[in-house]
Amino acid sequence: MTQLYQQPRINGSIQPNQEPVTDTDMSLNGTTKYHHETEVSGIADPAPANRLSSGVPDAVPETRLSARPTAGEYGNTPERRPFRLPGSGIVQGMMVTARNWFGSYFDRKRLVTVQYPEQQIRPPENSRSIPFLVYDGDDPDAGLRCVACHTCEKECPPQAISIVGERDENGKPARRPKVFDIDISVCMGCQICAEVCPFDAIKMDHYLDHSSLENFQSLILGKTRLSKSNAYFHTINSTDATAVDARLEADRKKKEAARQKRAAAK
Amino acid sequence: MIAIPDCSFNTTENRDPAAELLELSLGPQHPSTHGVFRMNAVLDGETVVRLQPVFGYLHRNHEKIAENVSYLASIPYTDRLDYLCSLTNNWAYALSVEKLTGLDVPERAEYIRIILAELTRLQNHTAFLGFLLGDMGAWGTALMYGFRQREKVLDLFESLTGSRMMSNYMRFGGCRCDFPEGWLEQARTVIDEYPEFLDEMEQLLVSNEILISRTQGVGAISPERAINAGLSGPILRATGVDYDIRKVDRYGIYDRFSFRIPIGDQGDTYDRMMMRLLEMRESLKILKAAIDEIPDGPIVNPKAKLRNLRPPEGEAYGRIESPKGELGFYLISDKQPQPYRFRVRPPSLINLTLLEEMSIGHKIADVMVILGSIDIVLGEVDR
Repeated sequence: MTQLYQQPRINGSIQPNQEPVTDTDMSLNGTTKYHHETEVSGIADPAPANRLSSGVPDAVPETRLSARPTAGEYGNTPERRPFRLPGSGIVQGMMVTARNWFGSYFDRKRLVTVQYPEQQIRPPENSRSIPFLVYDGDDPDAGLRCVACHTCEKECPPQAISIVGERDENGKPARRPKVFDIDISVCMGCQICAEVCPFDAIKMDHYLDHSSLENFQSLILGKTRLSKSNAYFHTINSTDATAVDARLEADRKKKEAARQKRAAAK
Repeated sequence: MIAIPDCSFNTTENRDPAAELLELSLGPQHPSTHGVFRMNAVLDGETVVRLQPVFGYLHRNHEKIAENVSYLASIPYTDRLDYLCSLTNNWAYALSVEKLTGLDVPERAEYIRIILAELTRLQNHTAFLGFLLGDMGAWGTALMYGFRQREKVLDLFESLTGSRMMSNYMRFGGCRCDFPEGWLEQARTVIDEYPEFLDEMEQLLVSNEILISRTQGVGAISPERAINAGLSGPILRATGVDYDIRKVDRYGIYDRFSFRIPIGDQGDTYDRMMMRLLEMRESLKILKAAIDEIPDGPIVNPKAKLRNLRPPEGEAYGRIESPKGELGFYLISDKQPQPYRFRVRPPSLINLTLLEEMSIGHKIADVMVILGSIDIVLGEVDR
């Protein structure tokens, strides 16, 4: 191989005061000199000249395998090609296996599995699978918080949501969805719909068992299958549900006060 | 772009059974190819003469999709690039959008990002060790020990971001939500227990004679070739090149933490494995310091817009040191809600370019180990 660099910065041959490799030195040979603009807009603070980090002034000396301290800092990491009794490494490894095998009968730390589905670990509150629609009270239709504003439909990255708003007898929007479908074969559970919803109407579920025998219609969840009560939301994520309740209550009170004020002004 | 190996060496006229070469197609469905990755190997006996990687089976058109959806909607797609390290992917993308828009990140969010990125590095390298040992024939044991430990980190991710792997957590100018109650204490426990696991893993594997003979001197590359091919991450540092973007760019607040960069000297599979083991120890140092020092405060810049983001015209390249190497996002904005150009610089793909050079002259069984030591994720290679 021909000389590729003017100054190869190879381990061992680096002198502290040597000029660091610049981008032009990294070109393949003398004939093709790439000119790299280091100051591309967007690269904030390109470390001037010191593109390789041992040139960074206050860099902590890096760890080298060949010159590694043996005791203390790095545990039992052995040196490269150390002298040891042939076979001792294998015996040591088998001791670890044995410790784990016997330990799994006594130590919970070494046996972390449970007998699913008889035993199930409760997922953390923030856990998410696919979205559901929250309704207040007992009536899934009347209590639905969704006002068919289409925000989640627009923001959904894979466009899994499809909403058709209800209209009243005069043709005005009735602020509730007529159709609210989520295709869960498309939904990736990213929770952006729940994040952008201004009415806290759509939240993330914990339910994971969506398998069905039929591939198409049964994976498009409609309004009835998506609607779940606020009480259910409290059982899966009480922290968020309580916060949402407080927020909605405060909103309601504010609106109530404004209405009274308007009525008094009249 | 499916490459067909040159078969002219097997002509019928000059067929010499002793000198006959064998073409072997490994994958795309193969337990040791880490996903849908195919290698067309040409073998002389057991020795690799030629090797052509074939990939693209998992191509999802991520870059073009991202040019057609809003800036926010690309974040969950970046989770699926390198699905083992979704949080660092999020960070790299958020960083480039922040450069594009000139957004600042609050102090607490910077700490959260560092904690999550280093936890990601821990769990990625833990899984890497398990997979690498699986490729070497220690199938199951090391992988399960690694996964058992990694699951503790993933539990932390799930209780914070809602998902073990598809986190969708970083936002432009901050993070999506704050830690739930008791998260930091739980994280501290996991971090305190980690050295015990690393010691055990080292006792199990690193001094093992079989492992040493399978890795030392296998798949070595020179630092010149590594730089020329654009390698980055632990593979580059294993060859002895001191280049870590955490030290070079000092993005985020990495300059506040004291940590060292492990450097190898042979550039072989053993060094690449040791880089990961040592990096985990260094990550633990950063994590401990970050968890102790994390301040209170807001987690997202109040000026940041979640929806209808229209960055000013311009371009930006944000890059971070992901566990696999330099992960960069290049964005061009023309003041529309969608980026005009969206380009990913995937470390897995570029690190894969030297696979043939590393493999030639070694036995076919070593190719698996070499591929495992590069640590690719096909979601990122194919995009």
